[in-house]
Amino acid sequence: MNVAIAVPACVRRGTVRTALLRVLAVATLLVAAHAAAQSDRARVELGLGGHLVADAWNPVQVTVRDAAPSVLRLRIDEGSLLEGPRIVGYRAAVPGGIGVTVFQDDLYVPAFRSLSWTLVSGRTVLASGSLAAGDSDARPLDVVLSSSPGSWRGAFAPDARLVEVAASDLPARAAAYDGVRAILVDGSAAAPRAESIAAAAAGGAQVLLSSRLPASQAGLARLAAAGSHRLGAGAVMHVADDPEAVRARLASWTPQERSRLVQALAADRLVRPPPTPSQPLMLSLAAAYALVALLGLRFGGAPGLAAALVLALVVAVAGWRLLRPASPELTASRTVLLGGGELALALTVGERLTLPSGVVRFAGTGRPLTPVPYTVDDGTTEVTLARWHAVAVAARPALQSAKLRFQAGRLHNDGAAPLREVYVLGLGRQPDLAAGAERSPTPGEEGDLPPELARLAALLPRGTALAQAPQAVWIALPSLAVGAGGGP
Amino acid sequence: MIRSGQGVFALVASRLRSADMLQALGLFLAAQLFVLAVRWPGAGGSNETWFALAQARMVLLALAALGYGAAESGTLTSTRRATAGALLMFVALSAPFDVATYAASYPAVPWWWSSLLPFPATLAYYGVGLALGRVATWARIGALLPLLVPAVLVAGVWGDVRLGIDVFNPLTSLLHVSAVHLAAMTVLAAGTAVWLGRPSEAPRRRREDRKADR
Repeated sequence: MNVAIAVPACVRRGTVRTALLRVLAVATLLVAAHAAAQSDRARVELGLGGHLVADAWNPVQVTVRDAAPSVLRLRIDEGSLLEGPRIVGYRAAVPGGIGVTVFQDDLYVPAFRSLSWTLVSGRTVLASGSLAAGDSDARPLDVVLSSSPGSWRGAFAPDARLVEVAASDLPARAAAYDGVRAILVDGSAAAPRAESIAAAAAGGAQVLLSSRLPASQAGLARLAAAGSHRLGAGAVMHVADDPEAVRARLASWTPQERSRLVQALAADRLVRPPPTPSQPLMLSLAAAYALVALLGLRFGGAPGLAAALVLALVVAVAGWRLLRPASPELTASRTVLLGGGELALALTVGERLTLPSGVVRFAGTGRPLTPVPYTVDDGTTEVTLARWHAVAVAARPALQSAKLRFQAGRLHNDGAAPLREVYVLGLGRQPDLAAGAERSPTPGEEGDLPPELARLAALLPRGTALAQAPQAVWIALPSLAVGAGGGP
Repeated sequence: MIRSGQGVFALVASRLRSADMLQALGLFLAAQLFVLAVRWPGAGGSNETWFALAQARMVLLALAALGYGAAESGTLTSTRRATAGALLMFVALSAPFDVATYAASYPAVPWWWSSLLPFPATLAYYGVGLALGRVATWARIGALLPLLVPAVLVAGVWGDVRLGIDVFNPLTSLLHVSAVHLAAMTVLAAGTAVWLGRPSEAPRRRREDRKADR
């Protein structure tokens, strides 16, 4: 028996519409829930506390929760309308697993037209985002660690890029503070780790510690126990708990121009192309060979042909051995170690010249000093070069213990190798400093600096000591009282 | 004077002693000296000599092989064998120029490609020249051979450029490893070798004459 149930058309349409709306609502909820779950599972943070500084090294932090291993990719277009796109690529493998995984690295971010990133695990995009040219800001950061950061606004210049960062977000790597000008800690907020503050100062920032730090922040107080002093490329300073005092301290400080020091270091080519024999010599040898071969063929018959073939073989082997460079890539590097107190900031420039065209690779994260596209792939910097071209790459700044340093007005060499060509700016040339030796600087002959030291000296304050070590230049910045603020 | 009874090496040496071959080889080596003179860099400059020299060498070898092939299509097999061997000696005797400039220039292409490819390529172009000579004789346009030889080379280059392939173009063949070009040259060289390896025509004619007498 067939039973037909008649449903009015209007009712049918209403039911369908209701069902469609329900499906749509459920789908929307599912998508929103999925997106929320994804954002909970992964977070990508570029820059200190999410504040990116263009033309500087910036920290990159990825926090992943309960996710499989993933890959972080960044694509930065630093080109222009005139030149077209120039792409900087970054790729890093982010480990995963049960619980929270935090991945940290530092990346040089140039002034960009666009910047985008994705964090992908298998086929799942865990996080993604992008920034436009308007977000490219090269102004350095002034970081305030305070429970009431607004109260310090007046201490900074009106155009200062004042940011508030949680103490736990401060990394303990010097390169992460390349884009930071000053850090103010007034003791009212949670205390940062002393290592982070030391890294910030050694990386070139001016760290201002309130003179009234609470007892719970004894670690920081110990850092400032010696009073205001240099540390690496920056300084740790005591300051009264007053915006006017902070303003005076900020005004008295001139940060070291790290990027200009790197440029000065790479001003001369570190690698030279292999020598080429002179043209007359090559032509003479080639003509002599051709003549002997032709004479052998003309007058020697079959033995002459055999002799010509043997001669060809000998000339080919000799030509190969004499003209072939030992390696397809020629490499050299130079480091300037900017020391203040016990720590020194190592700024290294590596240069590589490739004879055949191809990709040259530098171990470690770096940035080319010339405008070329490049990729940082899991800690290896790759640049594609044409034949017989060289590229200089600045490595990520790193900290070392200072080998050349001032202590109580005396110059110390704490290294295992002697330091040559020692100069103190304003005093002149000093005798070489043997390993483990110390000496009070004395007036010496001035104006006789080698060119590579002279370029660096132009950027350094009076009273700075410079010395040559193999493939490195050690710099000991003077104490704050002598250097009068640190300006050149 | 080439006699069919001579050994292959003596045959080739004898062919190379002939005035035309010696002059051609002299011109060929002089052309490479000219490239060296023009392209060898001054102190500190990048060395790009190999790229110009490899192209000039390959084009001149192709022209010589095509020209000799076209001109000798009607000659005795022994003469053709001797000429083919002599052309391969052109490759061997000009190898020091290639090796020395390759070593100084440091191109990305592997050395074995630059050193070995000219051997099959020269034999291949010689075979193409022989076929061209036959066709020109059959079509009674032998007088146009001086034009047809470079025209064939230009047609090969033009066809490759138009089609975006790399089969016959001697200008680009040495600059990167191409399996297609190697296959084409190897097949043509093998065909040429088989053609040249057939029994000499003089004994065959004698055998045919004897049969006719009976």
